[in-house]
Amino acid sequence: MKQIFEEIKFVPGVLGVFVLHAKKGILGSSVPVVFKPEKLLEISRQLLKIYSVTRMNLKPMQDIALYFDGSVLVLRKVSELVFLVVICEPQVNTNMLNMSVGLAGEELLSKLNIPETAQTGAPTPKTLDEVRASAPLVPSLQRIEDNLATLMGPVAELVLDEALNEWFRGGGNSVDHLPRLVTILCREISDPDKCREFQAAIKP
Amino acid sequence: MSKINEFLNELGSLPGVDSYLLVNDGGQLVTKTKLASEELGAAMQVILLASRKIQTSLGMKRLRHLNLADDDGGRLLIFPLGRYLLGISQLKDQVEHDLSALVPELIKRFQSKAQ
Repeated sequence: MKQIFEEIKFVPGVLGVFVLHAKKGILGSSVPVVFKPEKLLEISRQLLKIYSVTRMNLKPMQDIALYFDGSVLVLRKVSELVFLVVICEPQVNTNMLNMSVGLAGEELLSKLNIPETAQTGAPTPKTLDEVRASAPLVPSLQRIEDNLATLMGPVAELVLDEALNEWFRGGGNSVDHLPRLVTILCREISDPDKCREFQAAIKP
Repeated sequence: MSKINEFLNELGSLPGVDSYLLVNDGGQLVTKTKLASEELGAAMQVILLASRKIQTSLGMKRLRHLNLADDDGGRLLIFPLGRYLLGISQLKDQVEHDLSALVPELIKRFQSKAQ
C-alpha cells in the first residue's frame, strides 16, 4: 500500500492519501502529521455519510469531491466497501489525479483481494443472520431445510444450524458457495444413498 | 426574488446544465426545474451538514462547492449560497463544460450587481 500512496502523492498538489473501509475504518494512510487519527476518523465518518445518502437517495457515486478554499478532498470508490481518499491543494491537476487514482484503485483491488462480485451491486452479507435472510439464498435454504427435516426429523434444525456455521466460517455467503454447504450436510447424513436422494430433492 | 429568477434563468442557459434545484437553509424547496427531483433537496442538506463537519475538522475557511460523479458519468454539483443551497445536475454528454468554474463566475457577477 505504501507504494500506491507514493504513486498518488507523486501528482503535484497531492498532500496525503488514505484507504478507507466502510466497516473496518482506515486501512492505511500517508498524510501530513497535522492529520491526527481522530481527525481522519471524523473526516472518514462524514465522507461515508455523504456516500451513503447519495447511494440511498440518488445514485451510487464513483467520485465525491469537496472543494474548500484551502484544499480539496476527493473520495474515490474502489469497491462497495473500500474507498481512496485524497487530500490535495486547490490547484491540483484533476486529470492527472483522476488517472493516478484510477490506476491505484485497480491495484488496491488486487492487493486487498476484493472479489469482482463485491465491487458492484448489493453489499455482501456480513453475518450469518444476514446470509440466511439474503434474498438470493432464501429459496435454496428453505428447500434444504425442508428436505433435511424429511430425512432427519427434529434434529434437522440443529444439524442445519451447525452446518451453516461451519459453512459461513469457511467463507460461505452466497448461492455460488452452496455446494459446499451440501457437502457438509452430506457428511452429517453419512448414508451415500440418502445423500444422493437429498441432493436430487434440493435441486431447484 | 426577481434577481434570483434572473440568476436562475441565466443558470439554466449555461452549457451543460440539465436541471437545477434551489433550497433554503431549512431544506425547503424554493424552486426547481421540471427534471430535478425534490428528494435531491433533502439529500443536499444532509450532504452539506456532513461537509461542514469536514470543513471544521480540516480548519477550512469556506466550502466552495461539491462535485459528485456517479457510476454512469452523470454529475451533480452543489453550491452553498449563503442561506440557500443550489444543486445542479450536469448533462452526461456535456461534462467538458466546467460548471464548477462557470457557476461561481455567474454568482460573482450577480453578487456584484446586487451591491
